[in-house]
Amino acid sequence: MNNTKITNHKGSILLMSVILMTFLIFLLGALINTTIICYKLKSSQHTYTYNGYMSESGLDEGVALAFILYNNVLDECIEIYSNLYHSTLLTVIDLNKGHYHLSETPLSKYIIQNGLDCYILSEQAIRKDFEDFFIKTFDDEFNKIIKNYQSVIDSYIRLSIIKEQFQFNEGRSQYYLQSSYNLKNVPRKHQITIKIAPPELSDTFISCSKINFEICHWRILYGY
Amino acid sequence: MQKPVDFEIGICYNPIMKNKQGFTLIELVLTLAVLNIVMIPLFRFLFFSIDTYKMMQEQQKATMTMQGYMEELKGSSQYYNDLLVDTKHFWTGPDDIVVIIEPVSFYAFDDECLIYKITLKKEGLYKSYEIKGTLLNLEW
Repeated sequence: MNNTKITNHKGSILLMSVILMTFLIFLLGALINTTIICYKLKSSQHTYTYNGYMSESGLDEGVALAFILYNNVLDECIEIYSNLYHSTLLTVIDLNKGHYHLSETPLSKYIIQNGLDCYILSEQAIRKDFEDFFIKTFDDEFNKIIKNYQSVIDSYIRLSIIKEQFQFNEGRSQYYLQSSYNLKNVPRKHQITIKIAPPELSDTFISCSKINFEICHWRILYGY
Repeated sequence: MQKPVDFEIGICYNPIMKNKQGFTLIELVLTLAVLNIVMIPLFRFLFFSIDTYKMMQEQQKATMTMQGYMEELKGSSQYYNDLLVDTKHFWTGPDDIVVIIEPVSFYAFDDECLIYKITLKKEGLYKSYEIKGTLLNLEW
């Protein structure tokens, strides 16, 4: 049997070259792939750390904004309620003098009758009103601030209120703030819980003896 | 008709090896030229890979060092509160890390600043590395 395919070896060098070249190309491909994976892995570690700190910065900003707002609302409320307290006090004096009747004054809900023609100021009523007003004002303003938030640290920081527990009856509210930062497609997220309760004021509503601003449950969420 | 094997004397007649003249100079030169064309980019890529690997290793080390120092700074905020007034501070920390702390004036409250921006920089052989963060200064 005369098989030319087997006996003729003249073309074998071309075949070997093709095989060798294919092998070399595969080797080069594998090398490129390994290098790219290594580069991405190590590069993403730096980005991961960087993004983590930037995400944390968002929460720092959120807490600072809440703290500043808390104090601003407190100043505003103290001004309103110390005026209210003094107005009610003057009204009580007038009522006790018999200048006018209780139903004629708009401040009647802060005055209680203690015996016949004897009126006293209901500090508890003013305090309750103050607490409700404080929590409501803070809630409205804080939602507005977070909605229009633009970071001054880095424009890529995103901050949002993911859950809000507004416990009006208990006079306090709880905000779950979430900050995220996504640069070079390496997302990082952090969460925090801020508890807000009305401050404790002095008897005459002139000054604040204790503010109730609490940060709790600092959590780190790894990516989406 | 070729004789594949001479069993008597034990010599294998390989038809490819019949030509005993060897390679010509032109063939060798051509082979070397082709090899050069293939190997030069391959070696360049290999050296590039080694360089990149070294750079990444350096970056990883720098990141870890800076992360450690950043945690130290953030953790000991009470100690650094004495330093943090309304001016920008910078000093060189451990492992030649340059620390820059500056107040963010937007968060100024009652003559104090609530947020300070921390920048850590480290010069490497290949490039400089940077990490940024903030320090929350709430004292109430």
